[in-house]
Amino acid sequence: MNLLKYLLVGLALSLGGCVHMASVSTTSIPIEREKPVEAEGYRFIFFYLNFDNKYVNRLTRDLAAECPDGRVEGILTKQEDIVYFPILAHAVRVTATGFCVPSSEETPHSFPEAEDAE
Amino acid sequence: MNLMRDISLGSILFFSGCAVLHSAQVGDIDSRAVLEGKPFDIKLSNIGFNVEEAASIAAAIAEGAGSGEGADAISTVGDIIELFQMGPKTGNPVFKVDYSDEMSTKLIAACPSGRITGLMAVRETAKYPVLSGEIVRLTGYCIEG
Repeated sequence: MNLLKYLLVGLALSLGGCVHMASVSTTSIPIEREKPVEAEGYRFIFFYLNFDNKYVNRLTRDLAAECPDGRVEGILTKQEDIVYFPILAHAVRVTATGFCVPSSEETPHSFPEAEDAE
Repeated sequence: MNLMRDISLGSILFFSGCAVLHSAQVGDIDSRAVLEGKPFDIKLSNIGFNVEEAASIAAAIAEGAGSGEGADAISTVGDIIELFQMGPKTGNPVFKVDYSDEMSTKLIAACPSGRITGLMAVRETAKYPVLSGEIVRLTGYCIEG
């Protein structure tokens, strides 16, 4: 009986991993959605010890690198808090997905020329 | 020896603040500007105060000093204050509610041309015992000229 009790407690602890949605946001979705791009920031956290959140800083650059000659639009940013094992093992995952849209005349690079033309 | 160990452990826990990420939001990206442009990082913060932790520590000190009634009173006061701070929130309560309002002013100062791309907004907390740094951060890329 005791063995069964320990087995159940062990199973509950080891299989009780949970993922919580912490935040989600999106920008306007473009008409052209042929080339999806994705970047991810991930941090494993042991015993709640996490000293910085620098892992999210490279998301923008990673997305841009996947679409070097265009614009990334329709970006869905999702933050998930993951519990692998209560108290001991956690993680935070931030995923940004979007669509690579070829550059057009309307990019910010063309603003000065447009102003000059006027 | 035990006291030394406790002090060391306490110091490590006190000074090693933990960073908590509440939300991150990435805006539309002009890739060429991000890869070649000038990055900027704006940070606004305010001190947060955790009433629950403060009350627990004060109650423990009162208990240790032999004042059981005092500990109960402090605990009750802490609970009452907590009742007024319920609701959806990120981080600890702050004393200046509009600390993030000057974000747009700072943004214009960081990028006078106003042509900004790859803007990422991050809300985070630098957590210490009782106190915390409630931070709003904006990173992005400025197209100069």
